[in-house]
Order: sequence, then C-alpha cells, then structure tokens
Amino acid sequence: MWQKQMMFPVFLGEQVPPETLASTLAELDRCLQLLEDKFLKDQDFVAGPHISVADLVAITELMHPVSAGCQVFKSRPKLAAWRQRVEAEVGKDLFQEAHAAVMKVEDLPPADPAIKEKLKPSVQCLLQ
Amino acid sequence: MGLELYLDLLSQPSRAVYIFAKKNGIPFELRSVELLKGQQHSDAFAQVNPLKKVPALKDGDFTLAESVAILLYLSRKYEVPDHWYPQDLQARARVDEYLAWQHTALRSSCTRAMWQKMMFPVFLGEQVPPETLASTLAELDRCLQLLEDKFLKDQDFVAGPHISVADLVAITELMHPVSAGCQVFKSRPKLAAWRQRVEAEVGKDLFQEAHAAVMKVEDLPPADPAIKEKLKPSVQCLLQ
Repeated sequence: MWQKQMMFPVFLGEQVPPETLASTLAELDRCLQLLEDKFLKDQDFVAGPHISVADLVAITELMHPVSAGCQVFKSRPKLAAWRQRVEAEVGKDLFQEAHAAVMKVEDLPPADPAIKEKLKPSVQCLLQ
Repeated sequence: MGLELYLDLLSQPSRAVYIFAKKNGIPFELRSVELLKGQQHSDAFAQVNPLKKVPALKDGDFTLAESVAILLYLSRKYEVPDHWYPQDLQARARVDEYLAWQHTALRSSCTRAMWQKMMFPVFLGEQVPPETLASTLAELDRCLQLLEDKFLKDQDFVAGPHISVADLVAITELMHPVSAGCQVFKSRPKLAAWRQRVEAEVGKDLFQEAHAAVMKVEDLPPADPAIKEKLKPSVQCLLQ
C-alpha cells in the first residue's frame, strides 16, 4: 500500500523504483493465493464455517492495498465472495465507517517538509 | 498414529516447539524435515503443511502450521502447568502481546542476521554487501533494546515473574544470531541473566540438545550446486 501510487509517491513525494513495486505486488499475490488455498479453501470464513477474529484481521489487511488501487478482489472471485460475507456479518455501515479514512488516502495533500522528516526514518524499511 | 511433530532444529520456531514438548513430557513422533536439503518442498510434506515450513503438527487427521498456534494447541491439549500460558486474563495478554510482536520484529532480524552473517557466505557461497549486514545488525540491536525495555523490564521473564511460552520463543530466536557469532548477550547483562534463568528452568541438557544442530552450523560444508539452486529462490528475501 505504501509503495503503490499512494503513501510514498503521493504523500511523501518519494519515487518508488518500478521493480520494487512489481516485486511487492508479486509477493502480495503469492500471499493472496495462500490465503485462498491454505486458509479459506472451501469454507465460508478463514478459520471455519463462522466468522472469527481471523476474518477481521484478514479483511482489514486486504482493504489496505485496495485503498491504494490494487485490484485485490477483481481477479479472485473466491476472495470477493468471502469479502461480501464478512461485510454482511460485520454490517455494511460499520465496515464502511471503519474504512472511510483509508479509502480517502488518495485525497491526502502531500506532507509538509517537517512531517516528511519526522516520518521518513521509520518508513524506509517499507521501501523493500 | 499419535502426535507427530515435523521439525528441523536448525529453525528457531522448531526449537521452541521441541523444548516445550520435551519439557512437558508430551509424547510425540519426531518427523525430521531437513531444510538445507530442501525437504520442506516435497509433495509429501505439503500434505502436512501447504505453507512448506517447519514446525508443523499432525495429530491424527488434524494438521496445524505456525509455531505459535502449535505451542498454544499443545499447551491447551496437554494441560501443561499454568505458567506456560497463564489463565489469568492480563497475564495471558502479556504472553499474547509478546508472541504477536516478535514475528515481524525479533524473529525477522534474528533470521536475517544469522543468514547474512553465516548461511549466505559459508553455506551458499554468496557475498552479502557489508552495508546490508550492518543495517541488519542495527535492526537486531534495536529489537534487543525493545525486548529489554518493553518486555523484560525488571521482570525475571519476558511476560512476567514466571517462564512462559514467550520465553521459549524469545530464547530460541536469540540463539540464532549467537550461532552465527553475534555477541548478543555479551554487552547486555540483563539479557544474559535472563538467559541463565531460562536455561535453568528448561534444564541445561534439554537446552543444549535443542541447540546442538544450530551451534554446529559454522562447520557445515558448502552446499552443492543442486541444493543451492533449490534453496536460493526461497531465501532471497533474507538478503535485505
């Protein structure tokens, strides 16, 4: 989420090498495949037939790259169906309320220099 | 078929599970998965753990991955002494807190430190840029400071006054860079004292037995080309 279009380029005004982003998205894809194959499988939810804390942890993670424009659910109908179930269990309003801020991250104005200085050291490791 | 534990004692989380099971007298069949021979990639092992990692557990038809999940499953099933994973709400939360933090912090830096200092140059014959190693060791140092300041503090053990699974997970991690020659305990008397306490609680013999393989890692002959090809892809990410 930080590398794509969003936090580094837009907010911090820092260019991310295309190969870094490509490698990260490949890693994300690999993890999504494991999520589908090892955890979700043919179940309704990540850890079994009922929603658990595992689903909340997973869905909030996936919404992160989604907020940066990554089409996480588009090519993965199994995950998309699971997302619908989780949203329904949580309740659409609560789900949207929880994600309102991150979905507006593309509208953030660039950070002022003081903030950049403050944040840069701790987010450098996200550039790999 | 009873409980089977799929382990390689070269892996930190495998050691934590091994020590826990042995210390608590939990009967199990040890199934050795030799990581440096690439055995974690076999089709047979994928049936046990499709994530292709150790440790893994098979209890009848039930398979389980992830060392933390395995430790907690074993502590619940075999009703081990309370201090390992205390019933008390807040005491348990402290253990949970350590177990959650360590994955992306101490575990990450201990694995990379050991691989960059030892495994890449000695076993895989691959040079690691000095600035990469320096950066990793700085990161390790930062995590050790957090371990001392945020978790251990003035307590005898990582999550409180008694040894818990958090200590097993922590000590097996720290022994990883130690095996590669990093003087983790030398300049940190607080951690060194904690280590003594953990070793005493676990029992010196069991502790040494669990660490015998990793402490001999510097004597490993270089990997043959076939093994290098097999292992390289999955360890590239450790070069950062």
